[in-house]
Amino acid sequence: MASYNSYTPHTSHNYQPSAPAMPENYAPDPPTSSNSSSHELYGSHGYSQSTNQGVQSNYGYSSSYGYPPVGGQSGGFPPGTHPEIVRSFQMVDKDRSGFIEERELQEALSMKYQKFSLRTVRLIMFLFKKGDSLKIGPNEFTALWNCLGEWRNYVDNVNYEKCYVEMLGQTSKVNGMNCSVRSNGREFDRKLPIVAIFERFDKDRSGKIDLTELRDALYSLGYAVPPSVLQVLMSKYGNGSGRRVELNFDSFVECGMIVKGLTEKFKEKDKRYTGSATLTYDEFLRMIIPFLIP
Amino acid sequence: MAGIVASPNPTPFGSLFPGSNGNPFASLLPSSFPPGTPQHIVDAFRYSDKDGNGFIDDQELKAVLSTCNHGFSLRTIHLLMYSFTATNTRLMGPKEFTQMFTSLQQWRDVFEKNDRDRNGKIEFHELQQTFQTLGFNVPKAVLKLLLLKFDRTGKTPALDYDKFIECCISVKGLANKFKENESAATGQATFSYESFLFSVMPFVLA
Repeated sequence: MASYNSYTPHTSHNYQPSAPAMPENYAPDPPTSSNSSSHELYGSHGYSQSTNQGVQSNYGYSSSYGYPPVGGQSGGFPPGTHPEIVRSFQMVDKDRSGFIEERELQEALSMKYQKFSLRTVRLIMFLFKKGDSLKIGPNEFTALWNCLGEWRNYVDNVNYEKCYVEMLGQTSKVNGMNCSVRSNGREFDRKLPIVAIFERFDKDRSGKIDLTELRDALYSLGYAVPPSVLQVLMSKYGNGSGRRVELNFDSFVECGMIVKGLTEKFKEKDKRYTGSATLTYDEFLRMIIPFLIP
Repeated sequence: MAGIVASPNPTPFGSLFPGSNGNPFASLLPSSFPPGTPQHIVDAFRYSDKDGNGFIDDQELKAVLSTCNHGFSLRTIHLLMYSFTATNTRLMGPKEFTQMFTSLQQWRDVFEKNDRDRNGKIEFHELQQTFQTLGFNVPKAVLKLLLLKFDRTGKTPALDYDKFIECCISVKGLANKFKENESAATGQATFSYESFLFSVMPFVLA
């Protein structure tokens, strides 16, 4: 399963907008660390962009034992961790144990991302926690935070492109500084297209992705999901009417975590990457049970 | 236990009767009630099939079962549909509905028989006994895992009827998938990446 380190979302218009790069954190607080490039966090933790590797293997830091008295932002986090991550963790770890459980995780994630369903939170937790523990510590939290950030960026880019392409396609006339642009039946009169685009992007940030985009997303994350399986995925999120099925970000994460998790489990049994694995009944059940209503 | 094994795939495009009343779904001609189907089952199906196209969807099935059988979660409904139609379409015709209905009655018997202390729930030992009777060869440790998955609430995890059905259908279904790929010689099963995901997804995403 190859990893794709620089994957540009592909649209049917073959269009690559030369747009300003979106900041990694599209959030009110500007990052306080000196370099806000989206790869800084990955670099400082040795966290590679191919998330199909076991996350644990990328950490050279031992897990924390609560908050050491050392000053600064550490609190169990390696120095250089984005303050936003540390803050979110500490805000929900009320008893300062250095570990948080599922509902605290749900709360922490809702500060930056959204309030994920408990099922999605449990899936995330299952994939990122160590061993049989029901809690996660700073290292695991950082890893999953970055992973979600990567996926969020992907979905944002897809939506941004769709939006931009659509606006361009719909531009009717340009008259000096004023132009009338129709998009989805709404008119953005007397505004430059570029302003309208950003407004629209802002509104649609909670946009959805469809089957093709899901397949591409999983592909860019390193998972070549067979078409037959994609069909099963979409039948779960579809409403049976045959209309275009679209996933919101929560469902996208749920779906992605399931594929990621099952793929990693499978690869554990197929160490030589032959594409096939032989399992005992016991192994088979144990692999799957954690994913049944987590 | 008859009826739990997924019925053969109804062929969706097998219609040889093009003139059937201009129904746009004619080419997806659904099954029909087997002769001798009890009237209450026929009535229940017909009542739920509001548009009369010969299929009921998951919400309709959920509604009809909650009135004449038991209140099942949507997840259980999806698992039932998958088991009895062998598809992910979440649409069920009369024949599959009848098979499922009959099966559920058998499952109800199993549940009541094994609920020794009659508290409406099946605990670990009762579940172990049930699986043994049904021939599900689930190791004890895995059984414990399963129970914890289905009941996260108290100290003594136990399954109510809805969860019991959900659990049994999942285990039975997964056991069948395993068997399909099993080598008689080793007792182990070999899956390709695709067959693994494809087999497992309907249970994970019910």
